[in-house]
Amino acid sequence: MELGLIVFFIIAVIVFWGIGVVLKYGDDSNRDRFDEMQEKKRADAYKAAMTTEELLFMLYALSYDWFDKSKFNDIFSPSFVIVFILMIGLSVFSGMCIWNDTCVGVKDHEKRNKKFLRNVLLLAAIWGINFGIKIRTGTLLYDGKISFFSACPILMSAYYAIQLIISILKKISISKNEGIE
Amino acid sequence: MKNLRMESARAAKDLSQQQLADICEVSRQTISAIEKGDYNPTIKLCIEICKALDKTLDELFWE
Repeated sequence: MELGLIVFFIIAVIVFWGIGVVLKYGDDSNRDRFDEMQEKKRADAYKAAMTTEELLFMLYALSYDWFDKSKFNDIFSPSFVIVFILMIGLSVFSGMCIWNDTCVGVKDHEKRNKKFLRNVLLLAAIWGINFGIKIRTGTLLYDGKISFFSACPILMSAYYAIQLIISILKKISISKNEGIE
Repeated sequence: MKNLRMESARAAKDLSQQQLADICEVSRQTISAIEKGDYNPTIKLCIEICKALDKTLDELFWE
C-alpha cells in the first residue's frame, strides 16, 4: 500500500511536470523547431526502431517454444522480452537521433547539444552506480536467477551506456571532420 | 556527389557554414550534408540558399 502510494505520487509529479512544460512552452513553436533534414532523419530513425521491434517480436513469437523449453526461459519470459525489445527499439531511435544530430532543434543548437550530453552522462552514471551496487550487495540475482526487477536497472544502464558511447563516437567524428567543414 | 559550386559560392561570400545555416534557419549539419552531397534539399531550402548566396537555382543546383 505504501509503495503503491509512492508510485502514485511519482507518477502524479511526472504528469503535472509534463503539463507544466506544455503550458510553458506549448505556444513557442520555435523552441524545438527541427529543420527539414532533421525531420527526415528523425522519421528514418523512427522507422528503423519500429521495424527492429516488429522483427524482434515476430522472431520471439516464432521461436517461443524453443525459449520456453530452453534453460533461458526465465530471462526470455514474455514480460521481460517486451521490456527488452522496447529498450532495443528506443536505443535504435535515440542512437540514430544522436548520430544524425537530431536530438535538439535548430535554435541554440550547440549549447543544447552540450546540455544533452551532460544529461546522458549523468543518467548513465546514476544507472551505472545502481547496477554496481546491485552487483556488490548481491541483489542482482534472486535464487540464482536474474529477476525482472533486477533486469530493468541493467537494461536502463545499457540504454544510457549505448547513448553515451554513440555521443562520444559522434564527438570524435565531428572533431575529425572539423577541418573539412 | 559533392556540391562544390555551393561551397565555392559560400566561400566567395565569405560565409561560414554556421552563418549560412543561420540565414537559412537550418542547422549547420544540414548545410554540411548538402555540400557533401549526403542530403538532397527541398526546393524551398534550395531557394533560401540561392537567395542567401545571390545565385540562381541553375547556378547552384543544376547539373
